[in-house]
Amino acid sequence: MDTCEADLIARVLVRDDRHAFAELVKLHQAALRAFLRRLAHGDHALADDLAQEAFLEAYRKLSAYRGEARFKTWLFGIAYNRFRQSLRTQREKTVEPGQALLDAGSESPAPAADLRQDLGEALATLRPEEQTALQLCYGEGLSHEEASRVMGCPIGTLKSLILRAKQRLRGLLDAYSPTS
Amino acid sequence: MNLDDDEKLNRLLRDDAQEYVDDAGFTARVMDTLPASRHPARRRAGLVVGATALSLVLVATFGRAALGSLVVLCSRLFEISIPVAGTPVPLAAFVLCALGCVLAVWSVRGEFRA
Repeated sequence: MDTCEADLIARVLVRDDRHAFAELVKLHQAALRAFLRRLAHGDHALADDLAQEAFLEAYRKLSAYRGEARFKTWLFGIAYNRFRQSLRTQREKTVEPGQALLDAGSESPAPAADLRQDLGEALATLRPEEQTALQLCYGEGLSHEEASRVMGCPIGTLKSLILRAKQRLRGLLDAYSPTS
Repeated sequence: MNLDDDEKLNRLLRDDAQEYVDDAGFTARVMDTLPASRHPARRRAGLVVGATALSLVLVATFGRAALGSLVVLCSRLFEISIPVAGTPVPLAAFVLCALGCVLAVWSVRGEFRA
């Protein structure tokens, strides 16, 4: 954690400095919202609601932050728990993600026109924890240790998730555009 | 596309995540949802500490005799009767100061636990 961020946190804790907390929000909002948008498969409203709830919870629980991990890691952990809660409550309503891609792939195995779009669709077929592991390690550049902290799982489990996710991605993307 | 090359897939994943999300009022919305100040006692503590400091300055500056005269002057101004002779004004001021300090410490004590 850099000194500027540590100073902002101290100001919030000691003086309940709202400007300092606003600075913390500004520092992390872009990364957190982008992370949640990817997990929410582009549902910007849901992602922003979750991000807002995460910041609010972070504000309430800031005194519990011990500085053992980076503030970003701690914040992302809160956001990920929020995301899992929302997933549980919406599970009945959620369409099986990736079914559309699998169906499309079986019906028209044409070469992909847009690799990034393919990747987005392929990522959507992964289990939420696999997506999260990939997003944290590749998207946010967190170390395996930090990502495992965010997800609340052992490092070994995280590495397995990443390995499995990448194997599935390779399979899906190769099947989607086998000759290119 | 052949993604056997692990580095190729890694690069693809990293590039895919390069999305910039503009604030667009998000920070303001978060700040609007924050609960009311969680340290209302801080303002009270500030007043107590301020009053205590003022008392100390008065006592140190004017001393017993001068402060006694001030009390007499005030009592004459407001036409009230105060038994000035032998009134332990500095002692009372110090007692008030001590009480103020105790109240100030009590009201902010929870903030330094974390």
